[in-house]
Amino acid sequence: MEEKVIVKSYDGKLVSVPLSKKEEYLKIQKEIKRLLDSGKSKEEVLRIINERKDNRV
Amino acid sequence: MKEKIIEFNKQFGLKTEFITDSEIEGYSLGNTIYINGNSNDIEKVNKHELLHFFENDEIFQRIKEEILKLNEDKLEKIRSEYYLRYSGLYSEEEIQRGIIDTEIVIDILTGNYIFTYDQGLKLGDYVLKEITKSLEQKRYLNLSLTSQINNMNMPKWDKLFVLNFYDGKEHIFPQKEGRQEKIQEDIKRELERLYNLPKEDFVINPESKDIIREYESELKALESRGEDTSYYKSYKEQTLKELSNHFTNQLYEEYRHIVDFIKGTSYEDSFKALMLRETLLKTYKLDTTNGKKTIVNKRNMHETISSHMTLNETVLNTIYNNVDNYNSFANLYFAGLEIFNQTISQRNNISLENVDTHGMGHWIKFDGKTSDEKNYLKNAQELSSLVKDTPWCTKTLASTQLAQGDFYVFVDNDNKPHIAVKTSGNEIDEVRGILNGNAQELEEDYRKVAISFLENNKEIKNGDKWLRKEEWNKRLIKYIHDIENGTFETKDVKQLIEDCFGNYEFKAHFGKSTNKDKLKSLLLKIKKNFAEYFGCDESEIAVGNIDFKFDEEYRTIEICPYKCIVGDVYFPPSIKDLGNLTIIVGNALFSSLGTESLGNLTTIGGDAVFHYSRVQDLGNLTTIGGEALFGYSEIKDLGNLKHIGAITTFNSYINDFRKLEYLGYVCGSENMDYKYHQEFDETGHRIHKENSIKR
Repeated sequence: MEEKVIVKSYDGKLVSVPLSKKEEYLKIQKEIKRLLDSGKSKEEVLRIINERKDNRV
Repeated sequence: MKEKIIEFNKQFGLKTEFITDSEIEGYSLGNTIYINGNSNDIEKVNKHELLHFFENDEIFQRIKEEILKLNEDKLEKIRSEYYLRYSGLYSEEEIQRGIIDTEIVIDILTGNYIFTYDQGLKLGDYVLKEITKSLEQKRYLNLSLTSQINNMNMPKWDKLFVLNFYDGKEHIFPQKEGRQEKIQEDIKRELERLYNLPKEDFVINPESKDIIREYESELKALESRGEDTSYYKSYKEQTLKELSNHFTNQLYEEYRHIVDFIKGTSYEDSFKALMLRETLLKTYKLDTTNGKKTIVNKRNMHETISSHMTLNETVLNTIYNNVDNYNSFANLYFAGLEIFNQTISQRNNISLENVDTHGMGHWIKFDGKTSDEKNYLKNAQELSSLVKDTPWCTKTLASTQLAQGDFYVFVDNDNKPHIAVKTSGNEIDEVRGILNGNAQELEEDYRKVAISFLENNKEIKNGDKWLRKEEWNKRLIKYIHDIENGTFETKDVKQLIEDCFGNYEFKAHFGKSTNKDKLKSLLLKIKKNFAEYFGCDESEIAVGNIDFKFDEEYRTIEICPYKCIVGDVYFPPSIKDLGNLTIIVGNALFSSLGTESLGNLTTIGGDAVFHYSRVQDLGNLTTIGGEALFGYSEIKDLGNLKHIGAITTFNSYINDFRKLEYLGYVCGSENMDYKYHQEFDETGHRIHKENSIKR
């Protein structure tokens, strides 16, 4: 089983993530925080993040 | 706070270390929890990590189920609150399917949810407390004297007896008045009780998890060797009973052996009592799959089949003399085993004539019960100690295995075990390596060592045959797996045909194989691979046995419609022409064939039966892979036949064998191949006049 580490999410909560996905995860959480701080709602932020993920795929 | 956390985690048998990192709050590895010392809530991180560590524990699972049930109607909303937090890890659909439910529960129990429930926090503390209690029950001998006990005026081991014996439930710590005398009485009474446990206390329940696991493991081993398991499945209850009787007797015998040894030593009674209690209450094992992890479990006398601890002179001396240098009894015990280990490989080193070790190490033999009944239990202790770092079940079942036969271990030049050979009587039972964890495969470099041992060790019968059969079965299983998964490749057809049809040794010596039967039932699925291999169209190939007389679809035909038959074939009188038939992979029965000519037939992979047939010449036939039965036939000569794989009966016409390049002969359990020219004169005429060629 892959090693997991605890990091902080956009809202300062503890989240257990696989070590190999840590960097990517923190990048996304940082972006989420930036979008929320810019005044967007949670729903809008979720939609934007999902769209970006779909485009990448 | 850091010290508090370190002490707190000790209850769980866990070490704690503090790290610095800009991103990671914490993680766990092996038996250690790592926490970021700069975190603004290290207690929360620690609890989070602890609950993850024990998330598979029964207590956590029960609480998780309760919490989820309690919040059943709100679960969809609760999960949706995690979408952003788990963005990058899981999709919304996955979250709604429950993939992070464990995380949600841990958040509730540690105040990591979007808001904090006091009830949740209390429940989290409760879960951790319950986990420590259950760990206590499994915990190995406690060596950390409390200050009260430490200050008592008595020898060290008496103090340790007090620490571990008086649990406040079954055994109450004596009152101050006459305490010392009472403690001594308890020590003597406990020791006397431990010396005289009746056999009934060791009876293993036939339906215990350990017995059932042992039964299933035996079935699996038989199935992997292609042997018939229907008896064991039909008489499961009886088989379980036999297994339980076997382990009951074995464990009782081991216990008596340890008691007899300990009685003869001069240690304090308290030490003897503690050691006996430990082996009767617990099992000790080293798990080497992810680093070295000590596994200590409670022994249930009626369910646990693992062998007792190795309590011999070396180990007991080490424990007795070094107790002040260790906090953990498990570490102390394994240190004793390590010292003991160093003496084993030199003492039991054996040299086997003609067995080549390729300079890679040496073989060690452990005499089993049949070879050395008096010492086999002592040998079992040595064996289990030697292999404690391997994935072999021998480390906990050594005495059971030595009760069946001798055991050989190959160690490298650093005394590390690489090969285990278990025997039953004087036949091979199993050969195991240390590769791929529980797969226990032989490492490539050590295969040649194992092969030389199996082929040349005179103490063991049929070792080389065992290895070939094992590898044969492994190939059969792989073919089955590949066919069922659609990954079978044409390049494997040749070997498959040999393994399934043509190799006479496999048929003659390896006997019936359920793997072979299953494989044959699947061959139709790889018809295209056969077609590709034989270079023909799928319509020109038949896969499966053909009876041209009784199979409905062939009743009216007179000409064989196939170029290749992958299976056995019977030719009735109605078949008057073999058409384009070139290859029969299995056996061929020509006795009733309605023609004298074999047409274009070149190869028969299995047996060829010509008894009473009309066939007069073999035409283009060059190869018969199995037996060739020419008796009572009109065949005048062998034509272009170059190869006959096995026992052959000739008729009185056939005398010229000059073209024959190979004639195999199989008799009983010996496989004796010989060249025909050893039995024929220089003109190629047969020397003997009997109907069959003898060696």
